[in-house]
Amino acid sequence: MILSQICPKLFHTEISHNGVTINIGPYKVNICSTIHNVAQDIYRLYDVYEAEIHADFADIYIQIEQGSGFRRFFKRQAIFNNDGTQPFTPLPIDQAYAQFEWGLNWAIANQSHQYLMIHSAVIEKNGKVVIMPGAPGAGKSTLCSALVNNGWRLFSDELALISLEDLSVTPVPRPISLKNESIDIIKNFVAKPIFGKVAYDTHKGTVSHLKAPLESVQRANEIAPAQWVILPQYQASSKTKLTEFSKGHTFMEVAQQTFNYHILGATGFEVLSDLIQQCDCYRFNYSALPEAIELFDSLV
Amino acid sequence: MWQIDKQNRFIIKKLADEAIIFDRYSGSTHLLDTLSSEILTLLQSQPHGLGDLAQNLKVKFEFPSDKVLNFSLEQHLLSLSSQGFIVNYPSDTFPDLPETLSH
Repeated sequence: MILSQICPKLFHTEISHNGVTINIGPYKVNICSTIHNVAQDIYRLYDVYEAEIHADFADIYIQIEQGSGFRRFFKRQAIFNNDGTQPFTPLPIDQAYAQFEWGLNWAIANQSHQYLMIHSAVIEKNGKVVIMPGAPGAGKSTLCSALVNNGWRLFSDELALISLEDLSVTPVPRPISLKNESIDIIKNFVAKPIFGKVAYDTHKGTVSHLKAPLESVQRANEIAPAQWVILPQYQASSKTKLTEFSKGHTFMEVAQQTFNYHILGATGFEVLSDLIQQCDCYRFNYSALPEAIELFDSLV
Repeated sequence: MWQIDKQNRFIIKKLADEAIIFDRYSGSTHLLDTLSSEILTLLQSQPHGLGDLAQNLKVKFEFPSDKVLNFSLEQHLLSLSSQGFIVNYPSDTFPDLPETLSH
């Protein structure tokens, strides 16, 4: 069933007791939280996803719970728990939803070595995928948000999942994490955007999550081959410029943005070199989103 | 006589006119320029002497003079050697190779 078909009252009861299992790309994620903001944002941002209550099995189990003892009353905290471990320092309770999304990135990255995983925004159009790796601050989420709300399909804002068998890219569409000025830029650029609650003073600054487009979620099981690797860089007042970039240098930059290249060893090297070989590689400088969209559209 | 350190140690992939090399021993990856890439490709097929390497490179690349070619080749060999990718063995280590391939 679709998550929004679960009545809000039942949803809140289930998520705070047994957890609710949501299909997110190739993963079944069981989320359990007694924190009201987490439940509220999940209901708002994941309402179009397939979901189950009382599911027999999930790939990933996540709990976001309130701190115990005096932390239930004073400077309340949220604690992330994945399969019985607490890998992160507790965060202020206002950041609980952001903590869920960051923690889910971590959980996926820790148990998906059937893929080469690249820290990257990934979009698709006409059956061809663009992989946009980038360090934090490169502007990949802003660009990705603009593109997926203008005809491109969202695969992911965070993770390129590359098959070790055939190099295909698997979608895992989720809400897009926007930071600081990007939040207002996208609020003003996208028609009727739906955002989660804003978390202030996080280690990344102000953060809010933009709901993934419906079509991207509905087509989450449609894999596609990568055609381009584009390294984006936002620069205020810069001209929109797509510059060919050598495959060797692209390889080295992308390798730095992978989660498990070092774990996969020679296989990771073979897969990444084959991926770079099959893609056209570019650097992309931009500041104006309409021009950026026009340029990306011209690729396909 | 120059040769790849150990035949199974490295994976070399050509990407356009560059190459990347993966070291199975250390798990490290390196980017190589065109000339280094060509030298490694030649050495992957079989060990080569300095003169033979120079002959091969002369056919594929344009150098202003033999002096520049030899200087550039020696610099690249030194660099590849210092990174542990290739080693220089005395030529009598390979008694079966033709005379032209010896240093």
